[in-house]
Amino acid sequence: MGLKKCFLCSLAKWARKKSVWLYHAPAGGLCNGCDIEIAAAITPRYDVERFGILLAPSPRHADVILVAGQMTKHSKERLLRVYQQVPEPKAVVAIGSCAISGNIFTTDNYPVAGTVDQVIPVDVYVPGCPPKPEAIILGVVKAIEKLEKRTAESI
Amino acid sequence: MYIVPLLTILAEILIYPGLMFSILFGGIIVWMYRKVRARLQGRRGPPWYQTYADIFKLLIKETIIPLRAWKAGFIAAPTISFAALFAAILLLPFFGRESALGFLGDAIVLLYLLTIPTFALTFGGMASGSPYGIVGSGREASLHVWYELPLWLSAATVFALANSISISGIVEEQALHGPFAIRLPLAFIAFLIAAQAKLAKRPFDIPHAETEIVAGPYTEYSGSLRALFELSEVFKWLAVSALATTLFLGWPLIGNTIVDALIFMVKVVFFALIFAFIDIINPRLRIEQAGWPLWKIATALALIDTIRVYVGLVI
Amino acid sequence: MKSSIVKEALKYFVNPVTEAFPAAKPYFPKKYRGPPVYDQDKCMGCTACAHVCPADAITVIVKDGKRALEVWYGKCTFCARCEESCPVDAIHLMEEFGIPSEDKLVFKSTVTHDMVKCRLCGKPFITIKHAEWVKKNLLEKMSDVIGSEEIDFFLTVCRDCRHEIENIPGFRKLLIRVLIKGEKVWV
Repeated sequence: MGLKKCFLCSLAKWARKKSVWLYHAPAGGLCNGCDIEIAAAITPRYDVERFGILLAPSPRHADVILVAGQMTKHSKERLLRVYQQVPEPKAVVAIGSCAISGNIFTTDNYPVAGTVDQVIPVDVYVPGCPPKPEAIILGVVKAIEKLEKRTAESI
Repeated sequence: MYIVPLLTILAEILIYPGLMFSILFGGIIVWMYRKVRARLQGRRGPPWYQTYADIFKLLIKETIIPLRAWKAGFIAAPTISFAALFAAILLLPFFGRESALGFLGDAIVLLYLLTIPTFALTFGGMASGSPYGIVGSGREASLHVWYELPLWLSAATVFALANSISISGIVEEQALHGPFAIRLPLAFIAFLIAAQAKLAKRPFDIPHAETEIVAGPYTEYSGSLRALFELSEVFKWLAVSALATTLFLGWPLIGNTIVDALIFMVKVVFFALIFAFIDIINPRLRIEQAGWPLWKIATALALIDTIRVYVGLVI
Repeated sequence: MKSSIVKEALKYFVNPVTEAFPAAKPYFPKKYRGPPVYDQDKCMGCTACAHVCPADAITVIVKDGKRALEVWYGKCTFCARCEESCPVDAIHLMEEFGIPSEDKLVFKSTVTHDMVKCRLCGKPFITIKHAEWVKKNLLEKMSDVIGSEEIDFFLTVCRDCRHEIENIPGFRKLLIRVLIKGEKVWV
């Protein structure tokens, strides 16, 4: 491919790797354990700003969406809308076992509407209840690698 | 015959102190702000190329224009803001004594150019068609009403004492008799408070309050338009710090242009660090609480100095 | 500003408290509850963990005369009830964190055991290791009440067949006592 020869293309790849803005999208029913661990990942102890990762206030500024919580009926439309508002290229990371499969809240409960990956396409799954902040950082790094691969294919 | 001046002006617009130098130097200033903030919070900060990576990443993302937005205003707002700040940087004395495009009366034009980004942000927020944008624009507009008066009053005391309304005149006066920071100390403090509000930094950063309104007027902007707003932010740091240097700390000036330019850059960094430091250690004031430091204290200090200049009680 | 605050700020200015992850290994407190992992040698396939799991994260799969226990820690809530209720300490919650991946079915730990087939109906109903463990414990603790051949009988006939009344040993003798001798043995 002419990827290595094009200076702007390699600059684009570098910029996409070094500056990732996250948006935290809750998926309905969650106990906030995963939210607290995401907030803990931003604290000085596991400082993520040295990797260029920031928490973006609006989904239109974000690259990677962190979804936590169990998919409920009333959040289904709203999560889909937030996913559509994020500009391309994007990646989705499902955090915690509620987002992977529903955990204790089985699928024949009255507010539950399936799992997160039946509504939006998920790229990386981070197991844990709640996952350690280091695990969340590793998950975001894997999502960045996937973004890079997707950019390389589309250019 | 016209080739050499034309090439000189092109070089001044594009390289120094124009596009390339401003982006590089402004990026370093914003990096310094983020690094000092990180270190004072007890963590390491971002690496030196972080601002450039952020801007470039925003440029290569998809630009989405919402359906309910007024398209012309939506696209015009960041463009006008960026263009006005770029023109303001060309008027500032980056060569020590003279600027790239100086003329008689350019100090007033400079101050007018620096109010355009606020107007652009206000109507850009309203043009996005989202309630967060409207609330953010309202807050931005009301803050603008409060900080504009002390800013202009303190600049007016400088114009009165320097007896000229062009940048080169102000700088010359300071080179002869000493910096205005010592001769007009109250106006200096008023200008620092008003400049902190102009940069929208804490304690006056209500317009883009992150946890309250989703991103204020910047909510619906994505991709290249958002990158233009980031660039405006970078240029705003540079322009306001350089304005503070020109108006209040013009001394010392040696005859050599290169040394003068370097000294100017050091003074710009000094002011940028002052604004950064005040931002880091303060919380955020509410919109009705932001009135008293700006409308009461800063205006009063600037008025005292205006009266002093009028009466003649200055050194 | 108090001088103690200024000194503290300067101390953290020079020495940030950030951990060196991912350049260094992360810190785990003692008794950290990570993903559950089976020990193939110790486990006997009794499915006590599957009964006790509140999130139904442990599934029992019976295929080809083998019982497989699979814990999927995409559904696990790390409550450690399986570790508490295992009679032989075969499942442990490891002191590490689950590595994120793109495929959610990779977060599994499996263990397989051979099963004993019922000698009357042919269905597999208990694993060999579990049967041996039951026999060993019964012989140790209740050897005055039950003998070795009875244990072997019960451990090779499945539950449904045991409840079929013709298969209870001594039924014919009981029938003779009731019908012919007229003893009231059920009062």
